[in-house]
Amino acid sequence: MIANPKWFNLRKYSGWGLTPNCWQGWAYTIAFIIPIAIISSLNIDPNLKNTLILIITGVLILDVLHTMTKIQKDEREKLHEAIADRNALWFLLFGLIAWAFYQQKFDPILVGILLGATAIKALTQIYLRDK
Amino acid sequence: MNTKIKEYRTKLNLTQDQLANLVGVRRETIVFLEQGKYNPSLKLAHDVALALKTSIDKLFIF
Repeated sequence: MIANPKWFNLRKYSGWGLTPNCWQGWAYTIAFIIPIAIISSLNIDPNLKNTLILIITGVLILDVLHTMTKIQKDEREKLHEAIADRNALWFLLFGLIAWAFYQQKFDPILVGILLGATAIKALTQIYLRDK
Repeated sequence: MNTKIKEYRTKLNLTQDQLANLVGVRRETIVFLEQGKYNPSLKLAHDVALALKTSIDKLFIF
């Protein structure tokens, strides 16, 4: 896509995503931030403004996700990332369930998210079963 | 797990960085392998043994 994986490091200690590690990475980041900032400040039709921002943000998100998959990781890094993501997921899961009980009312969106996560886990297991 | 990676690497005058590049991992992974703190996959063990011109059973002592 647009970014070169060599321009970025994967975030390890501050969430998910990429951190620029050279001027090209920073230039890429700024090249996306400036148009968004300019469009946000323009006095144009709000629908057009939102659409333009949505398109740029969408391209950025897709490109970041693509770049994240292309960054080289050795097996030890992959293992560590998987363990860290699993631990974060467990915290998220218990947090969501605890929040649902605290609210004391049925939240279909929350239930939908939990069911979606269950489905993704099942699909991943099916995909990995014969590998 | 004990390993003789450092011994074989020194014999071949390879740095940790060079060995890491040869087998396609980060230098930290070689450091932890040498210290016996990381249990490698069979593929990585094979690649390291190949790079150090020896066999897995001579390199890794379980």
